[in-house]
Amino acid sequence: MKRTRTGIFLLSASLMAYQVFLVKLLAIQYWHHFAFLIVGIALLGFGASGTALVYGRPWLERRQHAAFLALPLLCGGAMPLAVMAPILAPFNPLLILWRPLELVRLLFLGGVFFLPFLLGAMCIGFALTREREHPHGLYCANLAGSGLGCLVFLVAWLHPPLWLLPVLTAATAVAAGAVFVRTRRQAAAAIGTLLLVAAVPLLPFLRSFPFLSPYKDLSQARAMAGAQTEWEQFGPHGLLTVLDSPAFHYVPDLGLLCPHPLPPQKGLFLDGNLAGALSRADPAAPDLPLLACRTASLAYQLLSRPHVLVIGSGTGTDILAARLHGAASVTAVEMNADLVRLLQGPYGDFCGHVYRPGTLALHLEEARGYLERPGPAFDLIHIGLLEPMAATTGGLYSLNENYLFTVESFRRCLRRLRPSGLVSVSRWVTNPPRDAVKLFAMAAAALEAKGCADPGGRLALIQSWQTATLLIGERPFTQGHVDRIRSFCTTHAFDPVWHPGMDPDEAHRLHRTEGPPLADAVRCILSPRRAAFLDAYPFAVHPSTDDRPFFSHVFRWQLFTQARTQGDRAWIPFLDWAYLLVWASLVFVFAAGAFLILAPLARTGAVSGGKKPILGYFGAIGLAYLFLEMALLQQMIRVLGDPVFAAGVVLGAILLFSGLGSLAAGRLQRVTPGRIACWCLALGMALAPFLAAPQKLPTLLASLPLGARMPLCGLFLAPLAFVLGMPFPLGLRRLGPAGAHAAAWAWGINGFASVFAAPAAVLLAMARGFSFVMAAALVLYLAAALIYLRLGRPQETPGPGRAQDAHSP
Amino acid sequence: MADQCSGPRSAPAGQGMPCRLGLALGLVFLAVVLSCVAPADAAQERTGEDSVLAARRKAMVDEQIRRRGIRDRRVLTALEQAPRHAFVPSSQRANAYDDTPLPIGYGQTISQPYIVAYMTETLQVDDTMKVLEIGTGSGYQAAVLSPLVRRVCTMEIIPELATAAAERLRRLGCNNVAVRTGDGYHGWPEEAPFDAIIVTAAAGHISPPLLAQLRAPGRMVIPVGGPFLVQNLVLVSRHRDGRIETKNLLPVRFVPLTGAGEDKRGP
Repeated sequence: MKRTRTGIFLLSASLMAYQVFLVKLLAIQYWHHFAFLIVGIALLGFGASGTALVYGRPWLERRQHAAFLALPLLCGGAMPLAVMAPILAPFNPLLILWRPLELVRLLFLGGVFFLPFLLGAMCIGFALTREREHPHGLYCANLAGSGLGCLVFLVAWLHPPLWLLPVLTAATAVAAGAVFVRTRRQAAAAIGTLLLVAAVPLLPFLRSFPFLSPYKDLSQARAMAGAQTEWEQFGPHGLLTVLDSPAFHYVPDLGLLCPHPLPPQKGLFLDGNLAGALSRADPAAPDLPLLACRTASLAYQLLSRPHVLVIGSGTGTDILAARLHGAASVTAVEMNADLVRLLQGPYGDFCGHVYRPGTLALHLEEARGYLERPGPAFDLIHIGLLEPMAATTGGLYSLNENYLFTVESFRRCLRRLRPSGLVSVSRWVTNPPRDAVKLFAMAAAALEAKGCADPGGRLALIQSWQTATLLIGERPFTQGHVDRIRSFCTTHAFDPVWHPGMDPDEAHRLHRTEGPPLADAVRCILSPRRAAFLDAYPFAVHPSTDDRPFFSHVFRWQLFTQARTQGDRAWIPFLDWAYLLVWASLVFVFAAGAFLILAPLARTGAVSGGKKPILGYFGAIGLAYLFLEMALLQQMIRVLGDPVFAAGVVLGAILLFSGLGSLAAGRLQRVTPGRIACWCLALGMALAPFLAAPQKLPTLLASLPLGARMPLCGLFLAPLAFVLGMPFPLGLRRLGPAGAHAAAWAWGINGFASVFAAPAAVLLAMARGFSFVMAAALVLYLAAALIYLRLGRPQETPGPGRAQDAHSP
Repeated sequence: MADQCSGPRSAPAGQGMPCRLGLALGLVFLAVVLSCVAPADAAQERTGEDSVLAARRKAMVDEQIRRRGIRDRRVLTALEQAPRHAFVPSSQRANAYDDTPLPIGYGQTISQPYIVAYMTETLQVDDTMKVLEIGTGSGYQAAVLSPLVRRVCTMEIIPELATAAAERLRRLGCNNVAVRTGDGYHGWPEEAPFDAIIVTAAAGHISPPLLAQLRAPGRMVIPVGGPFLVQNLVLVSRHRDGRIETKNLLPVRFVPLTGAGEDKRGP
């Protein structure tokens, strides 16, 4: 028994770590939303393992000792295949919308990733079905192991080479198998597999691992004459690369009339995506005069010696711009500590020591977390272009939650302003206008929420050919401000789009658009017709909120319908393929689940207590558990200020405390309706703070240091996670001693629901918000509680597993 | 196929005539020699293949380009003549006339035929003009421009692509196209000024040296979007008085949902 628990603990840790690794690897090789789809396919392995068990359990039972050894060994041996899969099938995700044949390669990749999950989950499921009368300890080991697997997030802090992660993960799976070794031959098999896995890094073609898609920014930049990778490191925020190339030039918001030459630059890439440029600056006189020729410099025309907060300071360009304009002080907030260390260390000289300690106040955290905390007030809060253009037009970030671009976040910014202070936000200009319209609507909403009756008086928007900068004033703009805005636009060939008292003919004189002009959209937002305008706009430009923090998600289905009706493939670039891929993965997972899990299981004849209650109960708790996990993760990102920390803490804490809940459930001798009611009450009470006052927790904990916030977050989650750990093992036990067949069925259904829940939760959150996702989870749990009473009622009739059930322990 | 893009149809008097006559004679000689050497059935096969490809090319122009509103007859003719299949890797030849962008290696693409047509029409070129292209890629855009203008100067930063494109364009007889390997950011000062500039590679910003090499009046076109996903074209116009304006163009017809009158198309 102890041996089984240890093995399951290690195997669960390995599978979770493998999943985390896959998400990261695929985000680097392709783009992160493809990771979503492929991992969805891979996780189907969990669901499919239930089917395999229903049919194969009798066979496994006859070879149980060998099975407990072989399944983890095969699982571990299959894991490194993920590293080699892109060589065998060079999948091009960008062509998938143009050429559906790419789907075949995608399915191949999914299949390669699917295998370890299927084998590992078969082992766990097999153990659970064997111990279905006392599954609590085993389930606890499963959850605790998965929690440990989440700690792979933390390994990234040690900056390991990326190839080491699959090797460690596979070695853990092999170790899980080794726990079951009984003979010398079995020991030899385990050692052989371990050696095989350890030899993977020696493969010569792994030198160019992680095999980036040739269409990623980094691959394209590397192909340029004279380009060479100067520095590369894998860390908690991803793969950071510095590329030296004489042909690399990047100052995206530069005015057309800028007379200043560009300094030599180096390209900076994160996970293979362009993240900015390192510009050479003289440490003695680090001024880059060309930075004055950007739309983002507008705010400095209206302020004298401001105290500046630069959000997302990244490569330091906006810090240099603040110094160029005579800022009295600069405070910088940057989430990526590795990037800052890079600019303080090896590239300090090149970048004019932009982050030199003593010259600025530096905060290494996520911007929203910084804004939540009490702190000094500023004359200018500067938010520059935080992602490259292609990412905006391609919908690359549309699935990303962005807590900086929400109405609540803008209100926080306004609270951190000194009298007459400004918030300056820059975005890319798109046609038809999307980002800038949403940004303007959000700023207007934030000002109104602050009690401002005339938001138009405190807003100013200008644009160049590809960027727009919005100023939000703490006070209304004066005629003097307006004159300086006009003068700045004239000097640098920018267009005013909106400022108080503006003549509509002033807009779009130099930068026109064929399509709805941005200036018209802005006027509609400031008119009483705002709601009707936003509803009718071809893109989703309603202000994003903390509950629906998807600023980059602007896609509307009517666009898809229009593209289809016109049958015009020129529409394809306008479709938000990140969003559509989540839908595709939902449909695919459902179809594949129906084919691999539901249909085979439906044909297996009756199971103990009937199939419907099992489908309802284990399906509901599978969906609800994932729904809550994802919604809580979102809330904790704001508390912890870092998505990587949040993922580690939330997943780790939930799984660990759920494991303890599972153990506690094992002590319950009987589950009466009264106890079920108590459980429902406990669930409601544990969930209430997250559901009723999602804003309170970030505010409450904001002022504490990160070291204190992390354990406190874990403690806040503990009661809820403890309660959530009970339903699965109790349900399994309820299936009764003769229900091994039913238990395998339950395992398959639960796995399928969990896989389906991940894309479903994202789509629900985009449509209705994260609080809706939580409420849906609560309803599902309550429904499961009702179904529980019907679970495992006797009247078992023969099925494929029936003969074995009678003999199973 | 050999003489698909041998410069503008009406070159200025005195320019290139002897050269073209010599080339024509040379081609006739070559054709006679080849017809003697090659087996008759292979020649017939090739002719058959050529006519199939020509038919596909015509269908491409009719269905993908003319139907979407490209009206410039010179541009349509140039597209009918440019053998797109010769500019894609052999693995992609079957798809050469499909309504899609295609990969050409090194992470680069050949644009959807309609986008090539749209960019070309937007430039409003004539046969007296000199055009600079930044991002040669496979050379297809240069081949389309070749019969429409006096001279095409095209630059490519990826040496392998530049070499292959130069060879391909030479083989197809695009004699008025000059290919250079180099960084398009600095333009081609020795050939400047240019009547039009077409930037087919992704641009982080409009390079000031490049803008300085644009004649007044002149037009520059820049695509916006990711690989395979061109959403808009930015047209930069330099006027006679030196004034610079931009216009963000939409290659697709947006049915107006806001009543803002946005279903116009064309510069």
